[in-house]
Amino acid sequence: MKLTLKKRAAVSISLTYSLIFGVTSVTIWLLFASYREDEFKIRLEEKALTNLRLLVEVDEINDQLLRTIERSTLNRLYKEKTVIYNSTGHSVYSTSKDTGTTWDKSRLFRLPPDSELYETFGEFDVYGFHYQTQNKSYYALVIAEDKYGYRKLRYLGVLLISAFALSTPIVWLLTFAAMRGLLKPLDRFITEITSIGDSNLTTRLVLSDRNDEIDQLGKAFNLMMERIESSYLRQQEFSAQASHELRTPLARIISQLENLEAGETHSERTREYLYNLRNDAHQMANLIHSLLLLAQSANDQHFTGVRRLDELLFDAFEQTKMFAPNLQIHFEIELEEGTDKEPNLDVQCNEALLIQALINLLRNADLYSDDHHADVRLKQTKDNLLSLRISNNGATLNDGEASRIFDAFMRGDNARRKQGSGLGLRITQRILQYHGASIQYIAENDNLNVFEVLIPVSTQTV
Amino acid sequence: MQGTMQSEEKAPYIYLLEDDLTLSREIRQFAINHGFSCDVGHDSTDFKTLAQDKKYDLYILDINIPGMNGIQICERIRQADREAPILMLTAYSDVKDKVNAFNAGADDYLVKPFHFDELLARIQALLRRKNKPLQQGDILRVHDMVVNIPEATVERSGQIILLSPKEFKLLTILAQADGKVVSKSAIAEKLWEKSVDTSHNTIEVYINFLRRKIDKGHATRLIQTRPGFGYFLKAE
Repeated sequence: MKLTLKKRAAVSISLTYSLIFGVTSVTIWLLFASYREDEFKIRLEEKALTNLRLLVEVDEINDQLLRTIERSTLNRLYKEKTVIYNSTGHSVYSTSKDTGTTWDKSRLFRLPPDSELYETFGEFDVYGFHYQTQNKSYYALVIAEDKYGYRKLRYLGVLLISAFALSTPIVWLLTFAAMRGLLKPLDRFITEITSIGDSNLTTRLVLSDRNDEIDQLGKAFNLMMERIESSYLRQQEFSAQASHELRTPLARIISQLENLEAGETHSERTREYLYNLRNDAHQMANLIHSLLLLAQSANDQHFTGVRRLDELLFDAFEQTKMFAPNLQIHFEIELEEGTDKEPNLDVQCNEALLIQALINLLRNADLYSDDHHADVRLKQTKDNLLSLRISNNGATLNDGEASRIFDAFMRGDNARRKQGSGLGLRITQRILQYHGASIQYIAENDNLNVFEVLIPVSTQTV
Repeated sequence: MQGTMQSEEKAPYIYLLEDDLTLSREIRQFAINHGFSCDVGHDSTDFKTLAQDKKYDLYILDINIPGMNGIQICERIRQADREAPILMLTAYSDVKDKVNAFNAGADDYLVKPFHFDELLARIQALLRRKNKPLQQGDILRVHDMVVNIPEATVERSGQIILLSPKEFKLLTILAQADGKVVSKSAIAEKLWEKSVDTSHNTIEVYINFLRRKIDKGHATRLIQTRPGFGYFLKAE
């Protein structure tokens, strides 16, 4: 799974926090558990020694009196059982007949003099002590449950786990929010950079005055854009100049050829040569025009306004007839299914460019048709797009050729013996992309070529 | 350079300003071959010294010439003569050039290289527009609607209505029928030339486009349908 920088930072910081918090919590819990044990051991020890001293060293106190004192004392422990054994292992004092435990007493009797043992046995804590006085040995055993100590320990555990469970997502969210705030300029950069195409190379990123790393990245990007734009402008200037320099001699050649053809009586062969020369000169002019359009940045080609697509189509058809005098079209405006409302045919466009794209499609339909006939259909779709379908009967492209049809200089198998530069559809696609439109080629059957253009309907009116 | 223009000559007189010697020679030759008279200049000095004070029937100006450029010359001609047709020539196909030319008062624009047939068609169209006096039938009235055919404008109740060229042509076809029913087939035949054919459904779509602009917001409807026959204009 690919994580964004924000999520990655949030996850890393949260995991680090969780680890530190977890280790700290466990340490606190263990320290507290140790503290409880120490404290309870002291209480058991005091209990054992007090009872031993009272029983052994105070003559007035026997086991009956000690039991009475013990019963009336306030600091009795929960489930407490105190037993004092003599050196032979017989009980000389016991607070209860039943210890409630099966703890192994033989370990107590193996204790050296003045030594102690302390351990946990199930829910009980056990304290044993070997007391020696005047050549007599006594063994004290105190067993009790540290009910309140364990309750505190459990409470501390619940507190720590709750704090961990609650704080981890909060830290995750806070980190994510903080990272989002911090990286917001980067998100803005991404949106702005993504929208940069060859139609808005003058766009620059808006920078803050923080001068942080993100700002520096923005400055570097703006600098790069300036270089790209400058290079584009130089290329455009060169294209325009080159185009001018090439068009003028071509105009000279064509005008001389046209006058020569019209003015004098020529043999059939000469007339054919002149006709071919003139056609070649026109094709060269078209190629130059196409190359110029391809090379030109759309940078200075602005939308000239809102026009009706049907009218642009008829303008294009008029101009196409200069090159394709036999072309005939069947024109239809189709209504969307289930409605009798007429479509909105307005498009926001650069008129000259869009007409050029339509001329290319109509010329293409004429050139690759069997019968110089094209079917042209306009329809508004539910997605507020205009669908323009231009189809012609004629040999279609195979799948491999169809996938490369919009590549520059691509000529399909059906282009044999057809005049063309292989640039028309590339230019058409480029112009349509500039208008936010798409184009696709469909071979609907073995002999039907269809180009479908989808172009956004303008929300402005003509 | 040609001599002075004779106003009594029948042949339309063209002034061509083109710096390329070969191209200007060929265009002039072509113009003469088609019955026009033609003076040629190669830069703004030629224009100022020999043509500025004369009146020609049509001007063909190359934009990129030495000295003042074609756009500036166009502005100067337009200041002196509001009616003279001006056709601009250029080797640039930039939109900005076209916009500048039209803003300077040019009537048409042709990018080099061009077919001479296209040049001839444009010259003839410009001269037709200039020479044609207003004739009966050029201005058609139906109720409160006025259709001015030469100027391609439509007004209803004094308000200008903007129509697309096809819509204007359709309205003109209906208005010229003088209240008679025009069938869909007749409309299709007149609205599009022979190289375009269409269905009756598309004619209906264009009628609806027109209704939305002509009748919408008016109490009196002008575009009427006779089911099965066609359409006609009448105030109802």
